[in-house]
Amino acid sequence: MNSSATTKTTAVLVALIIVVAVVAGVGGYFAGQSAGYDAGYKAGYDKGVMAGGAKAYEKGKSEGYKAGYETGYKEGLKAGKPKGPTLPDKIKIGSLMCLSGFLGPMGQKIKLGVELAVKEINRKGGIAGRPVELIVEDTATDPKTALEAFKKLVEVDGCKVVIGPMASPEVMAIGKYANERKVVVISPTATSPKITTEFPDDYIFRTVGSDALQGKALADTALKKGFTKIATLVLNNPYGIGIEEKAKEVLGDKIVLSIRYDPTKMDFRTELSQIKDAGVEAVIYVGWYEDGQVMFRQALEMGLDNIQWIAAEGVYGEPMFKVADAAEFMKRAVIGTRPIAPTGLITYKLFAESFKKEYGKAPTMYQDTAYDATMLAALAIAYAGQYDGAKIKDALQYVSQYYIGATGHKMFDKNGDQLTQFYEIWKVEKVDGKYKFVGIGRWP
Amino acid sequence: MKYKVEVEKVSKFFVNPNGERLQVLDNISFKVYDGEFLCFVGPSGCGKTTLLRIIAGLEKPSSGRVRVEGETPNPKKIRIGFVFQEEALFPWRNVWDNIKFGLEVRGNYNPKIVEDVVRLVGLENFKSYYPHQLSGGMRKRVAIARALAVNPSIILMDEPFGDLDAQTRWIMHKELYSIHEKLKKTTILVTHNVEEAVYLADRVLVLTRRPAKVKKEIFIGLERPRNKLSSQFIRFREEIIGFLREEVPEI
Amino acid sequence: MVVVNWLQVLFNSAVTGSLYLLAAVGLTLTYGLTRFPNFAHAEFMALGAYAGYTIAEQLKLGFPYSFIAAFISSAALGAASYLLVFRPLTHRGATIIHLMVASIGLDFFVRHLIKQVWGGEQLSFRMVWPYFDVGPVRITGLWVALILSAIVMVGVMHIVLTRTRLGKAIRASANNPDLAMASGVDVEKIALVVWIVGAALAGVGGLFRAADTRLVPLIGWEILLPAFAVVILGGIGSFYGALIAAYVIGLAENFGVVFLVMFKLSTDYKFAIAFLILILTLILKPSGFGRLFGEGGKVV
Ligand SMILES: Nc1ncnc2c1ncn2[C@@H]1O[C@H](COP(=O)(O)OP(=O)(O)O)[C@@H](O)[C@H]1O
Ligand SMILES: [Mg+2]
Repeated sequence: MNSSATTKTTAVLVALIIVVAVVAGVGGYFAGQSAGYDAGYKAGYDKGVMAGGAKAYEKGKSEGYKAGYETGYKEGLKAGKPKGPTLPDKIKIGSLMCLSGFLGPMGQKIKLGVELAVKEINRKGGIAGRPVELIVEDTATDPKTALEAFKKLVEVDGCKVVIGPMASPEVMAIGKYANERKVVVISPTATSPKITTEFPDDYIFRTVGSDALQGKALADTALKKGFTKIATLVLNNPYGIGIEEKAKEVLGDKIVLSIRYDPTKMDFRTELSQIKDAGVEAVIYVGWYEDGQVMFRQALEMGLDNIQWIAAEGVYGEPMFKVADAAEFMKRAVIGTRPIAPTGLITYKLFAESFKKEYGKAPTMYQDTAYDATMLAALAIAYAGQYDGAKIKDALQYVSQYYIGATGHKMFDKNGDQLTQFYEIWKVEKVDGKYKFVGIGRWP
Repeated sequence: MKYKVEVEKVSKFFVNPNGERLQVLDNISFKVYDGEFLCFVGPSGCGKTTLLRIIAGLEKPSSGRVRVEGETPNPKKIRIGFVFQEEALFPWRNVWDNIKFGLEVRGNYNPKIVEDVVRLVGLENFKSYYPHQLSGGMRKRVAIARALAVNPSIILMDEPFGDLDAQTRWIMHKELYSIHEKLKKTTILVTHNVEEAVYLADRVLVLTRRPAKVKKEIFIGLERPRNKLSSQFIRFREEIIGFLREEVPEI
Repeated sequence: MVVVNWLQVLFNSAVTGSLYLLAAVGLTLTYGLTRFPNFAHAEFMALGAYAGYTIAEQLKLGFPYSFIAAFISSAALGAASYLLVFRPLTHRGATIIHLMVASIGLDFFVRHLIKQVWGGEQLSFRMVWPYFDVGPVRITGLWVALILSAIVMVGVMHIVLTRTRLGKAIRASANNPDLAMASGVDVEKIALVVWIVGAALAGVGGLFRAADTRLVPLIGWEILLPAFAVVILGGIGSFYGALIAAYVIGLAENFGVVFLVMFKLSTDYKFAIAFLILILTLILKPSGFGRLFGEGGKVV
């Protein structure tokens, strides 16, 4: 990331934090119904200022936000009403999730984020008074299955908006069909830069940053630690290759060995021998849970825990600890990056509270982006006032300019990508005999 | 016991890979005398191999019954000598070990028996050769020796010389004739070579096209060893070819 | 410049080859004997893996017991498959197509049964294997156990196949069941023995694969493809052919990885290399390695 871009993003963020209250009025605002925001914000602000004192002010502001946020949503979702007759009685939102296969364990969790959003929307009276019906299909972490499931959602259920699919190859597989059938696709997790280049300016959106950014984050982390001899070991798919290419752009000659591997093979000894023999100081690694567990176990066995592994978010998550060897290896040798929301977002706090209330535990990675994707979809349908793919697509671009969700300002660029994305740098610790992830820094 | 083999009203159906029923044998009946040399001739694909396999007990008839020495054929109980149409030797065994296989299986291997059949088929100098080191004719000899080694009740030969050149085949006919003269084993030989049948057989059964029926029974009452150029020989040969031509007009 | 520890690669090849060998022995022998490629062989591996998992991880009895459990449970499944499914079908005149389709059906059935019992979620062995360096080569207890199992299996099979009447009958029946039967071999009895032993070995292979990686219901299918490659390359029905082919493919895959990385290609292609060798061999020697050495010589 060059410095002018950094300044620009920082500027945007500062501006956003200032106008957060405005944006808290999300739906209401853009629908020209700022009443909700006004009322909420004013109430909070007045309360805070009247009471005097910084603490009370903070509290008041927070309550104000909350009220404004709530009202804003309500108004925003109601906004479709004037144009209402063109919306169907039940509004279908489709979702493609990896409920089985490589990303199965992750998909089962991410689905909860989508479901939470739908529940909230319906509790607030649905979109313009019409309930949202969520239809989830399993892609089995397989592009072909994803396309079949997508066709089912589009042709059988008549969905015009689909949340997902999760994996980049799956998004690549359905992209063309989505464009042909004018169906809006919002992936909360697919991070490959290839999605941008293959499907610019069309129906494919995502609420997570492209790995063009994560590749930089990983490379910067390696640079900061002063490594000069680095290997890349990545999944041979758009996700892995996207990050590998970005990291190479940044690190150049410092990368002395690049391996792309097949996650189904599960016999990685010779790949790992190669890394060992190359004598590198660090490995930039991109994998998923299932292959990651085996990779780390075999890496431990090969004695590769004496070099620094820097991993992308694919291996971030509790399921990694199911394999004792893999967990131990991560503790000894792995740090990594993962996309997160900017710190201190009230919107994230609100989301986390709601999540906890619903499921009894704190949200984890990508449940927030899934939630945001679903909320954006609902708001876009409301704003479009019609259940029509092309209209919803335009509305989505517009709505995103004003939406601050659980993971922050979700404005799309013209390619449907996030303008900004933050990453946490994590490592693994063992506390009281239990492994856990802890944050040790941020990027940028 | 007068009859070595009795075949009564045997029919056989197969199921094709595409699920159709295919009738191969149609109500076939015949008997074979002890010591007789019987030949079947018939158009290719008519069911000759299937018939032999049923007599050997390698396959079960769909209906009808077969008796060999008064019993249902079962190669575990009744010793049969089968010479297969296609090459059938174990490539990792040399000549000697191939020949002794049937004896080994039955647990009564005796080098003397093997020695005898080796001499009978003239392979004394090739005992330790592996199949791939032998000519086609010699491989056939090994197969015949292996069939003979177990002192079989019957010998079944499925177009044994089909893939040999004319000259070698001619030599093999003579050898097979002399072996039969010596041992007088009941032999059923299947062929589409009419000359072979007339040269070797006491009796020839002509089969129809599939599903095979017995079309004609011809006793070859010629002196042995037979002269393939004698006018009687040629008359028998042409008569049988005539019957076959009714089934396959192209020949 | 890429530095390569060739000894390590060689050792890795032995690990891969040993796994493929255990997986392929039963497959090639049953293919030869019952004359169809048995896709349910994948589940012989899977069941062994899951049974071993239950013993080692749920009952905490240790790996030797899970080894025995894998052996026995898969043997039982092999016997049941042959006696209840494939033998009755052959008696009814089923063709190779019927048998193949039936084996795929049986595979689905068993896999879903496994899913019912153990769940579809990924499971992992928690046991930690000791590891040590021998010269430049990194070795773990598991890899040694896998290679040793393969060696012991080869030794025992070799003695049985060459010294015993049963073994000679097995070898003959797998090569040419008709000839064996006509020679007086009770081929159906032999077939039962081979289905049991072959399935048991596959179960052990599955267990090693699971301990080395992880358990998913599809674990057998993951190695079925290379196992078939071994069968074809080695010559259908040939134990010794499979022995050579398994290690050839193990070498091809692991050395393939080195060259793929050198040429900056994805290691996805290591399978392609194995299959390239397969195809070349078949063009040059259609009967596979079974007949490659000494032109039909003593390998089969
Ligand atoms: N196991 C089998 N399954 C299905 N069809 C068979 C089988 N064996 C033979 N056939 C068919 O039966 C017919 C007769 O075969 P065969 O007895 O080998 O004929 P022949 O030996 O006279 O040439 C052929 O059409 C062949 O395709
Ligand atoms: Mg025939």
